[in-house]
Amino acid sequence: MSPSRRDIAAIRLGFGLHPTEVATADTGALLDGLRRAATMPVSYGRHSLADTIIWERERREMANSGMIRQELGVLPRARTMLIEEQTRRLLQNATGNGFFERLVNYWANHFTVSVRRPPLWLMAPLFEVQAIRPHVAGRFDAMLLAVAQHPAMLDYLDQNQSIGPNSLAGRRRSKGLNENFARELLELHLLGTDGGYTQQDVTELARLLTGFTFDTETGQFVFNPRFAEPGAKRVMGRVYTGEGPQAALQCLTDLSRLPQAATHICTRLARHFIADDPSARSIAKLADSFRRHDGQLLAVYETLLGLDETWARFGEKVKTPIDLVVSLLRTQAVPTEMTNPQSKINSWQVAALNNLSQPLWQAPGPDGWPEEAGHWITAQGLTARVTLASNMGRMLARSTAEPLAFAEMALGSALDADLGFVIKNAPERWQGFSALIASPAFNRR
Amino acid sequence: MSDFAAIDANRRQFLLGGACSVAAMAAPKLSFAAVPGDNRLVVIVLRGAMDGLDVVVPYGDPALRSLRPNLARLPGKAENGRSLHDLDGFFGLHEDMWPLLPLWQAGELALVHAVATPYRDGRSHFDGQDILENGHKGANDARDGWLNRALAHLPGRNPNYAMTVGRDQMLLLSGKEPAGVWSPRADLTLHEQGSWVWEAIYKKDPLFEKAAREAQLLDATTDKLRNEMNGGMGITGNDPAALAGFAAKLLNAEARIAAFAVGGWDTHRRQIGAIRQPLRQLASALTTLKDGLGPNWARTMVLCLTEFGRTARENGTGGTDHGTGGLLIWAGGAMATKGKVLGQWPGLNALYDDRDLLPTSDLRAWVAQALMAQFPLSREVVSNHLFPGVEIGPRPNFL
Repeated sequence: MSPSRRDIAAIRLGFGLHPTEVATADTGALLDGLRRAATMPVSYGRHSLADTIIWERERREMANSGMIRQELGVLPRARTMLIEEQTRRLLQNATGNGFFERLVNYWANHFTVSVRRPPLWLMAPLFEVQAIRPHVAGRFDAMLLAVAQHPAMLDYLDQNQSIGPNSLAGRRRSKGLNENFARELLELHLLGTDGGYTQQDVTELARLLTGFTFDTETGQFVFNPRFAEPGAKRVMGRVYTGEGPQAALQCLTDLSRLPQAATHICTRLARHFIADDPSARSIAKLADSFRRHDGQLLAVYETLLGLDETWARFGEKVKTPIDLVVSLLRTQAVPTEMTNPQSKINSWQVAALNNLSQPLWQAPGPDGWPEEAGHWITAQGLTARVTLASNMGRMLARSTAEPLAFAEMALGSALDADLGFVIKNAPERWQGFSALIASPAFNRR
Repeated sequence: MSDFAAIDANRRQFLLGGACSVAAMAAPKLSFAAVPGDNRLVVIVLRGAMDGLDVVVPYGDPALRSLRPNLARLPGKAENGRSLHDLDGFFGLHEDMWPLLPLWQAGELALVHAVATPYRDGRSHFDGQDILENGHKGANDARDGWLNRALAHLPGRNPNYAMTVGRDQMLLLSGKEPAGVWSPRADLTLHEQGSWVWEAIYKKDPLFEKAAREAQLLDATTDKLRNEMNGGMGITGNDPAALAGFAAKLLNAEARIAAFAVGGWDTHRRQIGAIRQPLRQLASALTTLKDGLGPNWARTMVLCLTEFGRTARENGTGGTDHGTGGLLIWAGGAMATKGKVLGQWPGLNALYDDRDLLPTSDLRAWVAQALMAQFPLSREVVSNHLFPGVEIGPRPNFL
C-alpha cells in the first residue's frame, strides 16, 4: 500500500498526523490554510523586548557591582522563562496549521538567531513572532528587511555595535566596523558562498549597514546616524548613497532580486522539503517561480506543491529532533496552552530536544541546523531517539491505548505491513509504542 | 627520534607492532594485522578561527602596536588586565595558556606561526573548516576527511581504532573507512533495550541499520569505560576537558586516533574577554590528555588546527574579523622542540590583502610531518591521497 497524498501532505509538509484533524493534499486548500494561519494570534513571544533589555541591564549591574549571588539568581529565573517560551513555541507548532508551522521553523532556521546569554535568550521567540511569522505567507524581501532591522539579529551578528570608521562616532572613538552580519547576509541568507560576491562587497555592505542598531531602553530598532559611515558604497556593482537606513534596505532588496539569490534560497528550500539532494530541475522551477513573482512566497510554495519530487520522494528526508518531538506532540492532541504554567516547569519536550542535540533557539552557528540525514542518524543520535521512544512508550503503556491503533493513527497509509506486524507482536505493550516512535517510518518524512 | 626517521618503512612497521613475538616475524603480515602500533594521534579542531596573533603574540614586531592598540602587550608588563610570557625573545604566550609552559620547557610543544590551508579570500567558517578537514584546496573537492583517508593505509586496525569524541561525527573522520563517534554521556544503550523488536524495525533501512549496529558495537567495548568514568572519575560532561579525558581513556585502550572539537574562537567582539574561555578549555584539554595518557604520552602527538587566523588589525568592536594566516599548536611527548616559535615570520608590515597575517607555509605540510612520524605513511600516500598538491619538505629536526 503506497501512502496517500493526504498522509504525505500531513507528514512531509506539516508536522504529522493528528487524531482529530483532517488532512488535505489539495493545493488550493493548503495555500488557503497558510493565508488563514498568518492572521492567527500565537501564544509565545510573551516577554517584550523592553523587559528583556531591563533584565539584561539588571544582571549586568549586579555583575559589575560584584553581586555575584544576585546575578546568578537571575539565571534560574531567565532559564525558567526560556523553557516556558520553548514549551509554548513547541505547543504552537503542534496545534497550529502544520504546513505554516513547518515553514515558520524553516525560515527561522534560514535566518538563524541563536541565543547566547540570558536574559537576551528571550529575544529569539520575539524574533520569530515579529520578523518571521508575519512574512511566511508573504514576500521574501519583506521578511529579509524585517530580519535586518530586528534587535535579535542585530545583536546576534554584532551589527548593533558596528561603527563606520569615518562616521561621527567613529572619528571620535577608535571603534569601527564589524563585518559579521554583512558576511552572513551574503553567504548564508542571500547568495551562498558561490554567489559571486567578493570581500570588497562584504566590506561595502558592512559600511552600508552601519547605523543599524537598537535602543537599549526599549529594545526597538533605531537608526543611529552617528554610527553611519558616510559616502557612497558599491555592492555587487550597484552604488548606494544617501542618509538614513533607506540605502541599506534598498540594497538588501536589490540583492534578493539577483538571479543567484533565487537559486540559493530555493536550493535550501528544496533541500528541506524534497530531499537532501533535490534534482536540479526542481530547484530551477522553484527559482524561476521565485524570480517571476519577485519572491512572493505563496507562489513559490504553489510551485513546490506541483513538483513530482515533492510527493514521489516521500520518506527520503529524516526528521530532525524538532520534527520528531512536534510530531509526537501532535499524536497526543496536546492543547494549545500549557495547563499549569506557574507550576514547576517539567517540560519533557524541551528536555527531549536537548538530549537529541537540537536545543531550541540554540543552533551552534548562523548557518543553523544541518539538513542531512547522516548528521542526525548516527550511533549517538539514534541511541538518543531510542531512549526517547522507550520513555514515551512506557508512558503511553500506562493508558488504555493500543499500540497498533496508535501506529495506524500516527502513520496512516505510511504504516507498512512489516512494521505493523512488529508492533502487534512486540512481547511487551510498551515496546509496541516504542517500536513505532523509534521506527524509520516515524523518523522520516 | 632522528634514528627512527632513518629506519625504512618496513622495519618501522614491525617496530610499531611492539608486542610481536619472534615467531610472528615469520609471517609478519598476519600477526601484525591483529596488533595496532603504539603511537597515538589526537586532532583537536578549533572551530571559529582562533586568533593566533593573540595566543602567541609577536611582541617583537614593531608594527604590532599600531595594528592592535588594545590587544598588543609586552612580557613583564600587564595591559588591560593581561600579561604575556616571553617564549623566545620575539613571541610571547597568552596568560591562559601558561599551564602549557611545562610542555614548552620540556620540548614537548611546537608553536608554528603564519600557516594556513590553501583556502584564500572566502573567509567563510564553513568552507574554511571543510577545507581544513577534507585536506584539499576547495570545500567541494572532497566529501571525506584526510584523517579518514589516512586510515585506509594503516594496518592493524580494530573497530575502535579511530574515534571522534563528542556528539557528532566530524568531516575529518568521515568517509569510506569506519570510524566511531561517542561521547562520555551516552545514555541508555540499544542492547539494554533487549529484544528482536529493535533489530526488526531497522532491518530494511540501511542508514538506521548502520547507526544501530555501530551503537551496539561501541556499547560492548565502551561500556566498561563508561562505567568506570561515570562511577570513578565522574567525568560526564561534554566540555573539552571531559572530551580529552575520555579520549585519553580510549587511546589507552584500543584507539590510536582520536579527534574532537573546541569552539568559541570567533572573537568578533571584545576579544580580551571572549578569548579566555576557549583558551582555558584548550589548555585544560591538553593537560588532561597528558595526564590521562600517562606513559603513552611519550608516543603521542596532538595537533590543534583552526580554519584560518584573524585580521591583524583590531576591528571597531574590540575584536578581530576573519583572516588568513594563523597558528598551529602541536604538542606531544613524541617530540623534542628547542624553545623557539616555528614557521617563517613574514612581519606585520607585509600583510595579506592588506589585512591578514601572510601565510608563509602550508598547514598541511606540517600535519603531514606529524602523520609520517607517527604512522607508516609514505610521502607518496600523504601528498597524493591525503593532501593533494602539498609540498612536503624534509623532516623537521624536532621529530
